[in-house]
Amino acid sequence: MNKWTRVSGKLLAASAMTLVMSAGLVACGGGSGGGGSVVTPPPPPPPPPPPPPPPPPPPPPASSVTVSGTVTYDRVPFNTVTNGLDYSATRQEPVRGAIIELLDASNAVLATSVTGDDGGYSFTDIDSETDVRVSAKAQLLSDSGSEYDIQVVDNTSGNSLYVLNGSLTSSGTADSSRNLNAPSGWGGAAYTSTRAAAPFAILDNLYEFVTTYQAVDPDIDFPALNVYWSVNNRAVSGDVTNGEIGTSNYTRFNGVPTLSILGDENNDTDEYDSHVIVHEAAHYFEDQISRSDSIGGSHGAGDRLDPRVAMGEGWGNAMSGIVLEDPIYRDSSTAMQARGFQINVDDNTVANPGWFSEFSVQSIIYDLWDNSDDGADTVSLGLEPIYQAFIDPEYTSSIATTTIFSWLDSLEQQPGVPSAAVTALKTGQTINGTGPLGVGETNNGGIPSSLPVYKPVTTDGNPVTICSVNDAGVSNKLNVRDYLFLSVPTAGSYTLEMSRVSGAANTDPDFRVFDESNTFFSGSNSADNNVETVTLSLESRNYFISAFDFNNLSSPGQDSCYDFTVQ
Amino acid sequence: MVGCAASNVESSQSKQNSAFEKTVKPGAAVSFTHTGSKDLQPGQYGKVVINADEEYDSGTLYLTAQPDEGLRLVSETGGTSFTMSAGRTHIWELDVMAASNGVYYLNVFASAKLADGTEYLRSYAVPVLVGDVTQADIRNSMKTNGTLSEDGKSIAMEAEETIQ
Repeated sequence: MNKWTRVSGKLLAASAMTLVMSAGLVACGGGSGGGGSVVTPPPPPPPPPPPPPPPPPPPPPASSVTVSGTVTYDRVPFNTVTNGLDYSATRQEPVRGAIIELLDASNAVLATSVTGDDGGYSFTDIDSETDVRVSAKAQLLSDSGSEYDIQVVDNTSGNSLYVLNGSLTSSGTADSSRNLNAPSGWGGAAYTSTRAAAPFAILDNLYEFVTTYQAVDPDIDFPALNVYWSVNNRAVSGDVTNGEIGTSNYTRFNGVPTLSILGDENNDTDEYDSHVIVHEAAHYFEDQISRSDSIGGSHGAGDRLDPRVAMGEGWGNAMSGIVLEDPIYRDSSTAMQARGFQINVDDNTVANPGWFSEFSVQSIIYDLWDNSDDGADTVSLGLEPIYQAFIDPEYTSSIATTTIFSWLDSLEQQPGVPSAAVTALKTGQTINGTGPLGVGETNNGGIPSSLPVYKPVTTDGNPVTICSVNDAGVSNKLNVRDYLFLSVPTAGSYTLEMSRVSGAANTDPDFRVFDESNTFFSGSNSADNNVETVTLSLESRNYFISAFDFNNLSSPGQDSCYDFTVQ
Repeated sequence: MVGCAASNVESSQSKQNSAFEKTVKPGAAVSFTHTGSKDLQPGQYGKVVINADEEYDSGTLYLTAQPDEGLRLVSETGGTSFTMSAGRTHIWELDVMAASNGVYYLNVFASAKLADGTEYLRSYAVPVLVGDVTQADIRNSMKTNGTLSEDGKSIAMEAEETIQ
């Protein structure tokens, strides 16, 4: 019983095993099956299969994420036929070099970065599931290496800085991208919403301006610059805090270098007029990094200008072409910004060419820089020697005032500058004076009394004839002011006198005395009729004197000549 | 030269001692000044006299005027021209009117067409005050390009944003 039971039990077990093995063989896809013998012990049963592994737990939420993206602005280009703006061709361009911040819900700054050349930015290790906002400032800032701090602010709102804000949105649980664009605000026939692109369009021109100089001087430092732009900035002079800026210009407010840019829709806006912006920035360069003796003022094509004004304005025009690598200066205005005008700064055909012409100056400087030869242009210097000529101490501290003569004299001192090529460009613009004082110049611009450029005066009391005329206009035009070069051999007290000898019966002679670097030394500005006298303590050195009839500083002006003596 | 940005320092009666002054962007060699009626009231017309000083010996100076919304020209076509060889100062008188108090601007455009066919432009804006206008009214008439922050340090402008 027990044996049978035992055998029977074995049989039972064997059968069961056979079934298991058969099932296993089938499952393995092969085997002959076969009927086993009851006397052959089956293999021991395999261990039971292990339980399946538990599913992996869900990953914990990331504790930090990356927020990245790009910042762009709407660039409105020109219609090259009308020189007005072409809103239908608006494109997005990167906001380069701007400060970008990640803000929390209370506007606290969580992280700061700077946009790249593609407008890209990235904030890493940002707390997940936190409400954050991306905010781009209309500001270029560097406090190491080449330093600069350029801000576009609203002069009609307390000089507040323009910022472009994204939405306040959760940082989520994974990396995300946020792309911001500053729209132009154009609604098809007028601006219908915030003109967010404008400050960034201006900023991008200044980024190009800065990087152009950095390419030739990686360590160049730019003094802090404010840019006043507002939709209220109008073409009338008055209270700048009310937007009455006159026109786009460069000046200093309380000593702070400042560009003021028009923004008055349907009259004159300049935020997309890149050449205008770089032109004014070139004045900033002259004033803050090089030297400018320009007295400013109105100017235009064909003007015969005070040569200091001609130098500054011609430089500004040329530099706009150089920085933007486009010789066509364009400026839009009028209703819907639909019209404009252009100036080809590479054009060598100039009305009234000469040392008093801004167009002659721009033509010479642009030809010195560019790679294409035209007219008398056989030289391609690039920017470096041009830049070096502007910052050369021989130029910035010279007794000669800043004219095309003194600048070309500095340029010719720079390595690799061929004098013959420079002379050819001068000759091409009917400029033939030499040295920083333009000695020997014969082009008087139709005003004989404008030559020589500097009238030498000595301390022996011998009179030198000078004139102040309105033949080329008033204010800042040629020979409104006559130039004197005074060499004082011995320090002492000297009397300077300017006394009318011919011309208008009633004159108000005035003069100003400068020493090196155009540093104002003294002036004599009385309202005395026909004579001006002052006694000064002068050192043994050279002085530059600018003399004029005060009546010629505004219309209509008049012609008069004087004896100038020093003794 | 009072009306243009060309207020170089030596032209000021104060005769300050720095040579540097404000630069002016390139354009037509035209500068403007203006005078206007005092105490102009709503519904009354007033006179605006524009002086355009140019520095050209030949060519034609075209002037056009475009009033702001709410201001209108009275009996004027809004355009005139002058021969630039005939003196340097040109005077244009316009009559203007507005129905309500406020600060308006008369936009003036100069186009100097020279003998060689080139053209240069210069813009000007004449403020016209109608009724009793205070400095506060002038400030209130100005636009803000965005939202001024509470601390007054920034103006927030809303971005077009794509989040992915």
